[in-house]
Amino acid sequence: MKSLKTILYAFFFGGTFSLLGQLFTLFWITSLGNDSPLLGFGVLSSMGILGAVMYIVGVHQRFASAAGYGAILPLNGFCAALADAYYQSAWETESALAGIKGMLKLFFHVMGIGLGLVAMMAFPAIIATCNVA
Amino acid sequence: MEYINAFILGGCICALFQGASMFARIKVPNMLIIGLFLGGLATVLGLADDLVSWGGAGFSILAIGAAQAFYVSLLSLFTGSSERFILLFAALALLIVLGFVAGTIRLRINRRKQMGREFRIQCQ
Repeated sequence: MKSLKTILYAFFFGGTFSLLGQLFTLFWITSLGNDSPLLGFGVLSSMGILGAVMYIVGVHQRFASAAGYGAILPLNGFCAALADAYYQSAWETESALAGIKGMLKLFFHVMGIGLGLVAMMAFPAIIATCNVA
Repeated sequence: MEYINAFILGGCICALFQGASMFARIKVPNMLIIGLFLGGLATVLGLADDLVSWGGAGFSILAIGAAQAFYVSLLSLFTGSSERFILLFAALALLIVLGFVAGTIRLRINRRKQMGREFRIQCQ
């Protein structure tokens, strides 16, 4: 019963963050234009700022314990996960350097393996485009 | 209408991941890697374009959408324009900086709370 509730919360919070992302997209489209290359950067960075603010205030931790992946899977959750990795390793050792090390370890673990797999999948398409060009 | 679509798509993906993680008991970083992998797979199969055109930010704001952005920017790097690639990595670097700032501020707040608690205990 508890797991069903968590899944429902995940649906609700994931949907809400997507809605916020759509609103950010609308904001950046109206301020930058429809096909600006900065559009994706603007949306990603505004989601990151949202995640950082939510982590500082302490709301994200509550959301993550209630909704699980509904709060973790959107990119603000990734930003908060990085902040949490910094916090955990800096709290124990009381040095900022160890915190940065722990944070970068998480970042390169996720993005290194994940984007490496995507790059491997993109390999045939890259070869095809290079042969055409 | 696109707002409702984004809500439904983002919510469904998050609920699916929540269910899968409860079923298989995978740690959070590994689940994010699986998400990136699935996003890349959806992009290769051409599913991602349909999902983005239907749900907009419901797909592209999630960690899955980062995989699609990386795929597209990698292809555009090999066809001559590198600005998308640079901007994606600038966004990721900004995420690291924001994580550092948020973690530092949160650490300061909690240290201060802890010091206040110890001070009160000493006073008693």
